[in-house]
Amino acid sequence: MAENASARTRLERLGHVVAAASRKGGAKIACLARDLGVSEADVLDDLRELTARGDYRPGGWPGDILVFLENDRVKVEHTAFMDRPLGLTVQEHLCLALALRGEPARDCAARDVAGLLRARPSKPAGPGIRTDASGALPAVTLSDRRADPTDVHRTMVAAAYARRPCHLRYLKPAADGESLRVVHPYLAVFSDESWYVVGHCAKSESVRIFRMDRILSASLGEGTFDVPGDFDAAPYLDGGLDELLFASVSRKAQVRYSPRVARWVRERASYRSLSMEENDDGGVTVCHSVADPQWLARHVLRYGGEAVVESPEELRRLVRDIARRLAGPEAGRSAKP
Amino acid sequence: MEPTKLQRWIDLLAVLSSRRFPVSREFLWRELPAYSRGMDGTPQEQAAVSRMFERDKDELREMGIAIESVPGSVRGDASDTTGYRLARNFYLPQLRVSAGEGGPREADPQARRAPGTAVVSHDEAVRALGGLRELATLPGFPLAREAESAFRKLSFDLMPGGLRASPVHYAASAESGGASKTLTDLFNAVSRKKRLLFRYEAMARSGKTERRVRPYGLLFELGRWYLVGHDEDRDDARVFRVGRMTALRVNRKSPGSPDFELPADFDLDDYANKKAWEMGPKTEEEEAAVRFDFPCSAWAARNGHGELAREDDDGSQLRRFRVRDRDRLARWVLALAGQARIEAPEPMRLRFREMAAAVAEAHGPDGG
Repeated sequence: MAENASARTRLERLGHVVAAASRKGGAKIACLARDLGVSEADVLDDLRELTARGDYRPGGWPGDILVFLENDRVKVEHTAFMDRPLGLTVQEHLCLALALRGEPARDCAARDVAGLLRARPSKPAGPGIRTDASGALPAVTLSDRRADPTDVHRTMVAAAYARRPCHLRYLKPAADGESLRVVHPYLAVFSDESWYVVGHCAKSESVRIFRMDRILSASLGEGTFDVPGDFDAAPYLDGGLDELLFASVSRKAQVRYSPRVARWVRERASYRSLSMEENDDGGVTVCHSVADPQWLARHVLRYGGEAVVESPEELRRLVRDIARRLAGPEAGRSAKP
Repeated sequence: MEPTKLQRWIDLLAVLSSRRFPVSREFLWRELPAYSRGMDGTPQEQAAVSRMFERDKDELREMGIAIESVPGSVRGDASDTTGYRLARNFYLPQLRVSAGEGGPREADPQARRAPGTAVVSHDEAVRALGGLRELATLPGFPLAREAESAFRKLSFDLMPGGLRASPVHYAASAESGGASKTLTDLFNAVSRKKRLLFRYEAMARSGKTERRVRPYGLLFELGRWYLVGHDEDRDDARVFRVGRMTALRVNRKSPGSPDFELPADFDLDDYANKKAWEMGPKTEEEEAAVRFDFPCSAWAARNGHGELAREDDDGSQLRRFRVRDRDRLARWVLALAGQARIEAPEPMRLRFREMAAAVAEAHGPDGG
């Protein structure tokens, strides 16, 4: 079984290496290794599988494969052996369909591309992933990219790929209205159930984080930009972008959760490495880092009385004031849930 | 030295690649050292070589390399007249990027008709390659390796210089990342239509319950994976968060045949993008009206939250929602921190205020 997997992986790698090295001028070994996500030594090992054929058949082969290694390049010559990439497997077809399905408006084009690339029957034999009798692909949907009813997500991602500036109408949290921004989008990041854009904002002349659902509209600007060499993406890829959204210094807040919601808080805390204590009543207390007081208010209010800010007092008061305003004079009246 | 399996495959492909016409088994037994026992071995060894050849054909076919059997194509061979050759279409068609913005229909019809050539627009090429790159980095995606290899194959023609590193990222998610093995099993079960047994901790009740499910599809939403399937004990469709499943077992009986048929009216998209308050029995569905102050109203409109019923001069909006779970809508509106409130129907308005009052009381001077 392990030999199967290894042989398959290596033949797939060789498919790429031989096709690339069959081109005029061959291919750089370092580039092949980068494309395949392996070391240069792995690429050379794979090539040795081709040259080793001479060892067990010293008389040579009809239509033999010649491998030339010159400094940092490799060149392959032969009659017609794997000089093109192999056709897509069923699993790869599924990936292509999923990759294109994210854009409903392009469904027709998606079918065209997938159809054009279909170089083999839709119903494969063997124990791999099968299509059903109609040739339909297994049901898998990636709905994140389709959740945006506007073109904003698509425009921002296209701009980030093409490195084009974007003109945004942005609704800053806690602001009175929208503002206009020109942004060079470096990254589109999904974090904590929301999409964000990380990029250079001309207005603030610095790298800023924008919540995608607060971008009311986006349009591509003229020209292109370069991502500065010293831009470090790493801090934006670990989650918690909502907390990074506000550049101000964060403070600690203790929130106590009732036993009724504690198991979901425990689950969330384990993913976010939050500091958490178990309470005697079966509930939990979590210490949050809070950069935006409104974020904490939103967070606590969504639990509808099952979460309470214990400290600091000003955040406790903030939540109480908002809740009192919403409860109004009828707060004492009861209603059936 | 005995050739390895990889060398055997390379030898087989190299020999078949160098022949325009089908070749007999005897020819392959003669040319390939790994198959030589098929010619001069004992009857048992000859049978073993035949089985090895069949296995090799199957495994190569799974990789997209089809070796065709052509009956009667080899002459002068008394024992077997079937010939073998590589299927002509096992390579990726030549891909060309059209200059125009349109799709293939508008792009160069002559080139599109040329055998072995496909023309795609630049826009489609970027979408396909970018989408594949994103899939490869999706947390826990069971076909990440395949997405990466499809990307490599397509970029050979479409972007020979290579595409820039993807600017789209999913921030680290321990839940989806840790579900990788479960997802692979679920994906195979969905593909083969095999019944599942697992333990599940539902949102609505404490404690884990055992579930027997016919898996219909997988959904990636809000950075998490969900299984949509028919719960056999509840005799109804259910959505399960993959990160809350444990002790997953796939029915191993009759692995080659499906355990069920997908209902004709099943559409996975019916389960996508559902809001929390839209989940629940349809019989309990009712309409609610929510008032959004400006500029929260602009945010609600941009994100399609409810349908606009009325807009007032101050920019505030009244928006209508279809609701099956009152409390979940109330909690969502509460989380807008005073920028929205439920106005109708009256029982829902009172429930919303009651929840707000509970929060206020818990945060009162004596409430902590």
